[in-house]
Amino acid sequence: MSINMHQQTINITLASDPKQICVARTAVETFSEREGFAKEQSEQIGLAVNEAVANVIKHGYHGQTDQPIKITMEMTTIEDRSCLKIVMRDHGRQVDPDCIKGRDLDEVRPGGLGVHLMRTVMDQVEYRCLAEGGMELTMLKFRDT
Amino acid sequence: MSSESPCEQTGPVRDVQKLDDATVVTLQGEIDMYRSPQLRQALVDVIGEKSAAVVVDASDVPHMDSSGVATLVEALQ
Repeated sequence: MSINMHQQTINITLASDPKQICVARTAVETFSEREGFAKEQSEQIGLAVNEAVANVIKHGYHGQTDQPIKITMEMTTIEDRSCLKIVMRDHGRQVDPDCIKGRDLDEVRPGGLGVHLMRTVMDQVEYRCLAEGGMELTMLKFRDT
Repeated sequence: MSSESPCEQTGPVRDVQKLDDATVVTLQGEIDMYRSPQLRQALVDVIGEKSAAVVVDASDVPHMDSSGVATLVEALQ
């Protein structure tokens, strides 16, 4: 794993190993709280990233533990609103973004909650297929929400 | 090289206490994709002992992701 800081942008590169999920989550939580999000909000943002990374490991890389996951986070301004922007890229299996959605929660069964949690916590969650292969996930959290 | 997560060095189950009418499983630390399989195995073992009831104490779990929740739902079912 590597963590690089450039001005106000933090870049994290981790292997698709479940052992590293907690480090990415902690980094995101710390960055969020430092940028003015409340502690509870920061923990929720960390959870969203946790879920996103887990999905990449499980579905994108089919459990392989040696593939790269790159996370970039920075504060930005969108329509005059301060916003945390988190971008995650992988080289894993591509999926139609329209097919990535939460499931019906009335059905009590294990699994399938990750996307729901991400969409509940973050203000925007968007997937796209990369031309070079893999997926890109962009999540936004406005500071005033 | 340690095989443990850099965040947690102990298993997710602190204690399993068998009472007259229930088995209490006390959890500790964060439960995520890395540690939820250990939780699953512990619950499988407890459920296999056919206790009248299984109580999971997660009061000392500061973070649980959907894999942990899925493990609990699986145990419930």
